[in-house]
This record gives sequence, structure tokens and C-alpha cells, in this order.
Amino acid sequence: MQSSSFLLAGAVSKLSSFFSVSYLFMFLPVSILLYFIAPKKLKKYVLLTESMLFFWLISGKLIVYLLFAVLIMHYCGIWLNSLQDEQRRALSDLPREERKPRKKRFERKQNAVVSFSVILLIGTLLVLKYSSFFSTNINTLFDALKLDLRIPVPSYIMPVGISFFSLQALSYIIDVRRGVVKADRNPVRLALFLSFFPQIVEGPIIRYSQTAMQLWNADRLSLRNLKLGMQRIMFGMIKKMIIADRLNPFVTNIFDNYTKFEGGMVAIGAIAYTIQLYMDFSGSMDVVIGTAQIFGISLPENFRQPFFSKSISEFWTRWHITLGTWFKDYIFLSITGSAKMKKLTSSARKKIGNHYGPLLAGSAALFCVWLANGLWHGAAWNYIFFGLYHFALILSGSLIKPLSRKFFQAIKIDPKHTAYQIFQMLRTGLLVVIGELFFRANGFRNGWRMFCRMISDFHFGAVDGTLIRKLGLDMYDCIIIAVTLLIVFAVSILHERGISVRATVEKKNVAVRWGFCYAMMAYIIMFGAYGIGYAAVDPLYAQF
Amino acid sequence: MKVYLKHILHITVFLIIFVVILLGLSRLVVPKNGLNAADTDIDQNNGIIGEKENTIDVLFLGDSEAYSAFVPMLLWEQYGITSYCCGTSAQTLDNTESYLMTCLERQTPEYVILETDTIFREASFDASFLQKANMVFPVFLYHDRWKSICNNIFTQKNKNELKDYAKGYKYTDAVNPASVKGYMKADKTVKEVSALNKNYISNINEKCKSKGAKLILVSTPSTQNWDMAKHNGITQLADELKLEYIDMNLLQKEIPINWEKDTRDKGDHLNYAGASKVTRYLGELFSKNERMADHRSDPDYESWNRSLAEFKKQF
Repeated sequence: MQSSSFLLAGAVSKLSSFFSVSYLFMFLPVSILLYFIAPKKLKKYVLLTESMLFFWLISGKLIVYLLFAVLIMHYCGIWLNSLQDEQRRALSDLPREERKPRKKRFERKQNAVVSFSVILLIGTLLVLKYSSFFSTNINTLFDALKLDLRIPVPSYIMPVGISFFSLQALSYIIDVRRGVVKADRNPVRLALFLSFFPQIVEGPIIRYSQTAMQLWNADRLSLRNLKLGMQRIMFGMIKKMIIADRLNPFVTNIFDNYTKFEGGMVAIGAIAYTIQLYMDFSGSMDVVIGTAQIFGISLPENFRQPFFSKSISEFWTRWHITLGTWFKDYIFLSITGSAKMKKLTSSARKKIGNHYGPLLAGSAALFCVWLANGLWHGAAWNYIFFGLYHFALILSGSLIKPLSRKFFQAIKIDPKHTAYQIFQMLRTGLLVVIGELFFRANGFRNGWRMFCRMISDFHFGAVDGTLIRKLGLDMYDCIIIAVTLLIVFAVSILHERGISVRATVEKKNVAVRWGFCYAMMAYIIMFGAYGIGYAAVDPLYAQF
Repeated sequence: MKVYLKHILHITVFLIIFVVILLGLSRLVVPKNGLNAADTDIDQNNGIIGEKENTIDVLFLGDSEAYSAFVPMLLWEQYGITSYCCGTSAQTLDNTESYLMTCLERQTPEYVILETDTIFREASFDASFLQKANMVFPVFLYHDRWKSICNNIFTQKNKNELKDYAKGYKYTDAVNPASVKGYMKADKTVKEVSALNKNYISNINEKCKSKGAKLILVSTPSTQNWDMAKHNGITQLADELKLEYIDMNLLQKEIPINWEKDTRDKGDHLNYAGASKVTRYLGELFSKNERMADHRSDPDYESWNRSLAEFKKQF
């Protein structure tokens, strides 16, 4: 009677986060056990079943969207492949001079297939995620024009991870179109690639060429992978549960009531949110990559010490890496590689030189990338601003690059000097914090007001321990956050120098290895923000 | 096969050491006796740990309805009955069971009063799992007490210092009138209690019985949280488990709540005026039981008079 009560709690129907008890102590161990006992040939099917079950436990019947995306991938891939085969056969029979127009016709057909899949995949995303935003704005426009018109504002329930798996499905289709991968005729393999449970909620956005065959050739569990994977998961839990979740009430209080605080406090709130977001998202990625490692799957990294970046463009090669490379490969290169843009670039090179020439086409592509990036994060003006803010920073960085080089030469500052590099990192960090302020704000208008308050009222007269405690952080919270940040910072420095902590510990004797694991576990249990007095915070990027 | 056995042995030894560490950490953080300096929900309710052994006559459990409606100091002042309220905000039955277990380790109350609002709050799988884990490894429940432990080390405060003279009650005299439109309107629908919560109530009842305590389900007056469908659901549950059930929402004659004056938040919770009426009703009921002695002149209970004086001074 006694022990059965938690089994009656709707089983794991509230599976929502990688940091929930139901995931860490129920879903994951059972998944590992089932995978372990399954014969080698069946392991891939066990992984697929677990992945589908995971998605169903989070999104219920909305799993149809995931299955729909698998179907689109499957049929559009085969369609493209058959067009490519047909093209090869047809062109080989033709004399050389007739090949070009025929090839163009085939390419147009293939592009139409890609467009069709874009309409289905991105169209679904647009309808579910953006229709309410667009219709609200159209109604606002009608009001501004004093037109007595209104369109209905729809509201849909979105399946978790749709922004991630839609991009993954599309990347596969474009890769088939580009000939990077061959169309896969096995829908089960495609389903496994798209739904692999650790990455379905928050990414990383994986590519078919990197991951599909790894998953399909799922191998036996190894104790080494299990140990390393668990260590990575624990490191993620430290970031998320000790830093991010502890900061959450403080950040929420400041962003929800910013009018009550002076600019200095708003600035502290923006910095705290930037830390929270990084610890939350990169901590989640540690759990995702660690989980995949347990199953012997190597997923791409999504973060590479972003706060060591010396410029905003470098920052975006270290932060949410898989999203950045997706936009680069499928939007930036598609635009700059088009015939018209190539022509524009070559004529511009002749007129304005090799630095500024490519910037014309590049800036048009960059604009599209950052508009898409902003919109991808959410259907609101503050996200659009967030995207365009980064566009402006990166573009202006490129524009002034030759001038700044000359300037530093003239004033004899060595850009490789440590002090200057630290200055660059701090400057980049400051620009990132400003961007994140708009990103987190409750709408663009509030973001702008917070920014203005930060600039015009920048002092810390009212900031003291009592105020910070009222906002949700007592002295001990601040101490444990600071200590944990120092640990993460030290690990980041080691990673930056190419030293892996886990690999170093692995070489030590058993007492050190086990002591390391016990220390991590005890640290999470004692200092994690969970249980009575704490509200569970779902991973922040799961909402995108 | 040998390799597998070696791995299994390694994992087993690793887990055994981990269990020992968990037990050690639990020993470190579990409150030994009384309240601590940090003013958290857990510490306030764990004030019951600081009460002398076998001195509590009545234990109140439940959510914010409980800590807003039951006034232990009033029961003491007017009837000489000792009681403690382990109500916490949005309490779920897994927490209720934990508090009961904590109390029954050192106390043998005559009555356990469970405020029924919590019976309609579903415990999540995570919470239920953690509650089971808390029973074996209390470090999961008390882990946040590292702050109070540090505080005691740094401030040299006595960690057994008993502080909650209100005995779990949360005082407020705020008034925010309620509308009584539709309140307890006749309705035959039954709001069912979930299988999980039924199971919890059954467990709680068994535990009370094993310690000789009588479990009574009580619905305190609330225009916002209570209606006939819930009343019918609890009546059904009480019949099924053969429990006594008092719905104070239907006792408007015996407990004349004035919804203009006796609520702090538009009928959601009672204020001190409303809580006094509820507590007096229970006091009359308890004092009919011959085994409930009046302890007011008993020197062993002198600390209760000091708490009462402090309570009156504060409020």
C-alpha cells in the first residue's frame, strides 16, 4: 500500500524536463536498462521506441507533428533522389550542347520539391508559432489606419521541440538536394534521427550526415561511456540547478517590476539573466550530450566557452553553435551562393575592393539570417529586435574592421596584448548582456524602457543586502552561486586550453575518480535549488 | 561474463558508498530538535520537533487553509489543549504524510485534523517520488538547511532554540470581504478524490490508528475553495474509509462566519477573527473528550504559558 502511492501519480505523465525526478530517476535509468538488455540488432528499435515514448509523454497526441515531419523527409527525399537519378540517366543520353537546358529543367523540379517541403515544414511552424503574432499586428495596423476590420487571432498548442526538429528535417532535404547525402529509403532510420530523445526538446540541431548512422548502428553500452556520460550530466545539473534555478526568482522579480528599481539594479538583473540563460541552456546541453554519450552517440557541441569571445561574430560561433551553423549553411550560403548575388559580389569587388565588395551580398544574407534568428526564438518584437541588434553589431564590426586595424597601428596598441584581449571580451560581454535584456524583457517596449533606465539612472544607491534578499537571494545563495560560477569558470579556462577535466580524472586512481563523482553528487544534492521552497524551472530553451 | 561481473561488483560498491554518503549528509542536515534561525516553511513546521515528547494533544495538517484557520494558542488559552499546526502553502498529501510521520515519532496526539482542501490537490510523480526518498534519505528534504547550519556556525546561535510561539499558525488581521453569491449552493455532483490521494488518506489513517490517534477530516469555511461537489466527494471518501467528517461550510449557525469581516482575501482564507470562531468550535468538541486534560495548571506545560504571552505580545 505504502510503496505503491507514487506509482499512482499518473506515472510519468508530467515528464517535462531533463532535470525532473521522473526523467533522471525513472525514464533515463529504465531506458538505459532496456537498451542494455536488448540484443544488439534490436538496440536501434529500443532507442526509437524510447524516443517516441519520450515525445508522447511530453506532447501527447501532438506527436503527429513529429510523424508528419518524418513523412515529409522520407517522401521528399525519395522524390528528390528519383529526380536526380532521372536527371543522370537523361543527361547521359544527351549530346553536350543539349544538356544545360535539360539540367536546368531538372534543377527547377528539384527546387520545387525543396520549396514544397519548406512550405509544409516551415509553413506548419509559421501557423503554429507565428499566426497569432502576425494577426495581432495586422489588427493593430487596421486600428492605426482607422479601418473597421479585424481578423481572428488564432491560438494553437505547439508540440515541444518543433522549432528544432523542423530545421533538422529541412536540413536533411536540402542536403539531399545538394547531393551532400543520399536519400534514405528507410523511414524508421529517419524517424530515429529526427526523434532521438535527448536532443528533441532543446537540440543541438543535428545533421543527418553526422548522426543518423551512429544511431542506426547503435552499439553495446560501455562502462566508460556510462561513467563519462553521467559525469557530463552531473556537470549540467550543477550549472542548471545550483546557478540558473537559484537566480530565477531574482531575475523574474527584476524583469517583472523593473519600474521599482534604479538603473544599476536593472543592469544587475540583465547580467544575472545572461548568466541564468547560459547556465540553463549549456547545462541542458551537458545533460543532452551526456545522455547521448551513455548510448555511445556523439552529438555536436552547442557551446564553446562563449564568454571568451572577443567580438560578437565570434560569440555566435561559440553560442548555440548548431543553430548558427544551420543558418549559415542553409540561409547565408544559399543567398550568397545564388547566381545574382555572385554577380553582385564580383562587380562590387571591382568597384569598392576586396573587403567591402563581398559585404554587399553578405549584408543582405546576414540580414535574412538575423531576422530568421530573431523570429526563430519567438513571435514577438523583442525577439526581432534581438536578431537585428546582432545584425547591426556584426555588420558594423565588419565595416569598421580595416579602419580599426589602422587606428590601432597608429596608436601602437597590439591587438594580441592580453589586456586588450580582456577588454575585448568584456566589451563583447557587455553587448551580449544588452541583447539579452531585450531578449528576456516582457515585450520590446518594456525592454526599451529598461535599457533607458539602465542608461539614464545608472547608480546603485538603493542596492544593498536587504533589497537583494527581498528579491529572492540571501547571502548564502549569493555565496554558493559565486563559488559555483568560479568552478565553471575554471573548467572553461581548462577547456579553452584544450584540457578535458573528465579525461584528466579518468587517468587518476580509483579513489580520485570515485571521490570526484561523489563530490559532484553531494554538491548537487546539498546545494541544488529543488524541493520545498523552490519552484521547478523548465529549461528556458524548451519554450522556443 | 567475468568482465560483466566485475562491472556489476564495481557499480554495487560505488552505490553502497553513495548510500553511506547520503545517510551521512542526512544526519548532518536533519533538524535534531526545535527550530533554527532561518525562517522557512520547513523550519516553522518542524517546530513540532522541538516540543517536549508526548505533549501534543492535537495535530493540524493541511495547506494554507489550515494555517489560517487553526489557532493553537487560542486552544491553549481557552481549553488548555496543546496543539500544533503543520500547514504549509499548497501542501500536497505526500508532504502531509511526511509531517505526520515526523510528528508521530515523538508525539501521541489524540486527534489529527486534516483540512480537506489539500485532498483535491494532486501530488506530482516527482513530488511523490521525492517524498519516498525523503523518508529514507532526509537530506533531499532538508538539504537547504545548509544555510541555517552555516548561520549557526557563523553567528554562534543555539540551534535548538524554540521560536514558534504561534505553533504553526500564521496570524493576520487583514480584512477583505467576500461575496457569498452561490456559496454552498445545493448541488448533487460529486468531485471525486483521485485514486492516489485516496491511497494517501488511507495510509495517513492507518498511521494515526497505529498511534491511537483519531483522524478527522475538516473543511474550514472558504467561499472560494469549497463547494457542494467537493463536500460530496469528501463525504463519499469519509464513508468509504469510515472517517469522521466535519464540513464547517455547512455549520453556519454553529460557526457564524461573517464574510464581511472574517476573511483576509475575499473568502479564500480566514483572518484571525474567522480562525477564532473555527478554533472555538473545535475546542468545544475536543473538551467533550474525557481524555483531553486541561494542562493549563500543569507545571510540565509552563512553556505554553510563556508562548501564549509572547503570542499576545506579538499580535
